Amino acid sequence: MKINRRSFIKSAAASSALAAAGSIFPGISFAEWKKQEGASGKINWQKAPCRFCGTGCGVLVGMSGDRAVAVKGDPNCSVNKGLCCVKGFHSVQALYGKDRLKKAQVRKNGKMVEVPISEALDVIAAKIQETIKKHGKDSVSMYGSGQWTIPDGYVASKLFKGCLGTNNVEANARLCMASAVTGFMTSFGIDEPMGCYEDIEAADVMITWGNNMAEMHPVLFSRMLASRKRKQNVTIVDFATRTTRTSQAADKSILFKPNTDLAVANAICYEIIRNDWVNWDFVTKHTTFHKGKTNIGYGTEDHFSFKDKPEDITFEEYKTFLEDYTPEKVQRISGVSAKDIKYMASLYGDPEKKVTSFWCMGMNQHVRGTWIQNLVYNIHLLTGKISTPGNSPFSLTGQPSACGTVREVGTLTNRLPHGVVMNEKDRKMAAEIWDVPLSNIDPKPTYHTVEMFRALDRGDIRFMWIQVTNPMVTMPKLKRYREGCLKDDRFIVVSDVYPTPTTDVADVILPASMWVEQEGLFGNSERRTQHFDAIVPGPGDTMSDTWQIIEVARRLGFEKQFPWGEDEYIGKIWEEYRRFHDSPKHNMAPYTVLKERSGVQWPFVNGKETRWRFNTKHDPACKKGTEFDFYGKKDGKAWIWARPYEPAAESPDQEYDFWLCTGRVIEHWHTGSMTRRVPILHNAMPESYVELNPEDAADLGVTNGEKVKIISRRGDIVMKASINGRGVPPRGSVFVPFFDENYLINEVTLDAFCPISKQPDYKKCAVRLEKA
Amino acid sequence: MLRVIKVILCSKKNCNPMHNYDRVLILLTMKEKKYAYDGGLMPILSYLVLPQAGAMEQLCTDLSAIECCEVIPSDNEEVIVLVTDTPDDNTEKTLQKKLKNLPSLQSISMTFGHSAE
Ligand code: SF4
Repeated sequence: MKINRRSFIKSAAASSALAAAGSIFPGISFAEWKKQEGASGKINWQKAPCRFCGTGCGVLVGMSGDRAVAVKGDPNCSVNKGLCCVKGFHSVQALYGKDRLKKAQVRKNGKMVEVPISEALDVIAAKIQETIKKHGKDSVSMYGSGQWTIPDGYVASKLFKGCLGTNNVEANARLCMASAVTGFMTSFGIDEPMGCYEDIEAADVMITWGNNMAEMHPVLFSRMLASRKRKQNVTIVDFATRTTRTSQAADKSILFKPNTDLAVANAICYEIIRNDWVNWDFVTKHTTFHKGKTNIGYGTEDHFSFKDKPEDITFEEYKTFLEDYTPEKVQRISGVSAKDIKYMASLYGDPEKKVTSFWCMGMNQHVRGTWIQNLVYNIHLLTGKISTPGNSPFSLTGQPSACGTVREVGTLTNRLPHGVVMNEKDRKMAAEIWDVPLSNIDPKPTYHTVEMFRALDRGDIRFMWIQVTNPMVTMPKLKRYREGCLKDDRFIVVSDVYPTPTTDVADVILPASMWVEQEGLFGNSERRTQHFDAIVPGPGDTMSDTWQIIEVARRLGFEKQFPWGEDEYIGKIWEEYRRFHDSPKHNMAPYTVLKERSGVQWPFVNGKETRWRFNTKHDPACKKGTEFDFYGKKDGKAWIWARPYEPAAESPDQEYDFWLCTGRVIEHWHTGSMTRRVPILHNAMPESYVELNPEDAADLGVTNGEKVKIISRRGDIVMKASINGRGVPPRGSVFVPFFDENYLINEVTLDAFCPISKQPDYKKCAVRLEKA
Repeated sequence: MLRVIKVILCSKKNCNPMHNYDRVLILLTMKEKKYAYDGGLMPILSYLVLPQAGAMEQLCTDLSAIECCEVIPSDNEEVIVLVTDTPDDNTEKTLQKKLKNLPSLQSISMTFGHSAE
């Protein structure tokens, strides 16, 4: 057995290297390699999407008996072609942490007590009823996740919006991609990227906008590097606020001052027009020009509200607007030299070059998140570099199903699985499919995430059910929201797989199934829906988040809306949900197709996936007789926006003289609740740190590993300094990863957000530093 | 329990691990690699290995001469797949040293790792 097992592992090790070689050097041959298939008899491989990031790599989970023992990249998945990153390879170990939550717990006389899960579900249902009776339907809420499976989000929305009649449904994806959504909606009238990952191999130039892809989307980044090696003439430019592994691997690294990407994007457009690099045929046929309100605020006060007022403008007016953004003027604002601005403009402007822009949290977690998306779309629209292979403005997603669940199912306060609550036609569709009275669905959105937690603190919300997320680590200005959760007469339910700072504030804890312990579906960054089976038995009383919601819904009397059996519910839910998207613009693949394949892209029309939307050659939803059709907008045109540069909500001053930026590291997934329980990942990155510029460190008298106190107007934290580590911030700024619950950096951050998307800005606030 | 790790390491001492990044997949630095091995017993690892210019044959010979190494050369590119199977941590460390010091080797990138517990 030992010999077999070792030779199997050696065979798997060799296969992994061969697959990697094949992906990096296409056509490479290893004639001497003989497969040692016979040795692998005891391991059974089953497909799934990776549990972690929004790249959506396909993995094969190796099962030995009923235990998952190994992972390898799925060679049939076009996303990763057999590759995986360090998190993906270790994902199965995250199932087996020693302190896995296996039993339900209910707070009794101030103490958490283990109870049968049915009792905990009874308590939840009773509390929902009691709270609604006392405080009204909008006093109960659901806070979910971009790591919810699609069925999880769908049943949550159906229960809360359709049955209970409250729009108090939000998800942590508000913190990660809401600006991407409003960017798409304002520029194109429809959400999600027009391109796909094949743009990587087709592009001649790739520009990362505030996006450390080498660590955050490592498999995609390796595809970029492989393409550069293969084609020789590929240029990668990293445009960022700190030097990272991405900058080091790029052909050129350009640093800008926080929030001034707005000014630089406008300067690039100024240069494109000045040099007449505009694709006039495209611009005339497929775009219109617009402006909106300015000085739009930052949302730091309770009950903040904002509504934009779009106005049409002419091209000449747009050109005049750009005169404030000459490269020389923008150099003074942004710290980017006029030469570098002109260089970037020349790459976008060269008609011979295909250009793809990538971004993720740097542009999303931004107090002008919607605007910066508009401005990067402007660059691609002015040059006509959009919706064709290699020409793509590509908004990447952080979480495995932020697109699939939150954006497509619509688990945000204003959204429905199709359309928005404000639209009567959309409400009618939902009421019909959900089999609820139309009057149940409230036409008024309630609270976006930050405001939902403020409402909990104020007492407007009394009950919150949190699933698959850890807001007591991730909410900005955390102290206020943690204290809010702990107030008397607040009731918090948390469904999770491990104890976290969020389960610490819970009144009921439900042990959840994790990843491949349940059947489910995710949707990744490139409109790809990925099905996975339940292939590992869950421990103890663990139950899928979907089934938890169904159980509570039935206890509340909604058996008719949630009638499915335990052996069929995922397939049935998928087919019901698919009815919302029954059109060539968004048709989803049937359940049977998804079960078979390693992911299918939508729109899935007549058995075919759509790679490039809005391009008549590729997208069956386009009007015939035109090359492009931006059908999200009524007139079929994409919008070019005049959006100005405005500064961050809080910038360094004499008292708080440093910028603070937060983010992730390659080893850990989000708040680390899973990856910190994987020994290799934990040992590789055991604790968080603060990255300092070496000269700032010298001024402070701090050496590598010494303690630094980071102080903001909200709170402070002491942590070890990292100097010349994997990332180096410019002078006057620091960077802190947020994966470590022992260092709650969000007690320091600010809850300012983009007034249009309501997504908080975790990348910019002012702090001062002291040697601790 | 399998431990599967996928890291990059560079053959040059004290090098910036990014210097041959365009040939590699996913990176961990040398320090992180050390952590990744700590506590591992009987590791099996696989790598993509690139020779110095014109040293493909020499590298194959050098690697084949080292105990615990299985060498799979490509027949149409200057790339070698190397699978190592060591009985304990000490042998693994000695092997790592030998690999690092091979003059015919330009870069080495890990693609798979496992260590039995
Ligand atoms: S890149 Fe993302 S999806 Fe792919 S293996 Fe890594 S964590 Fe998983």
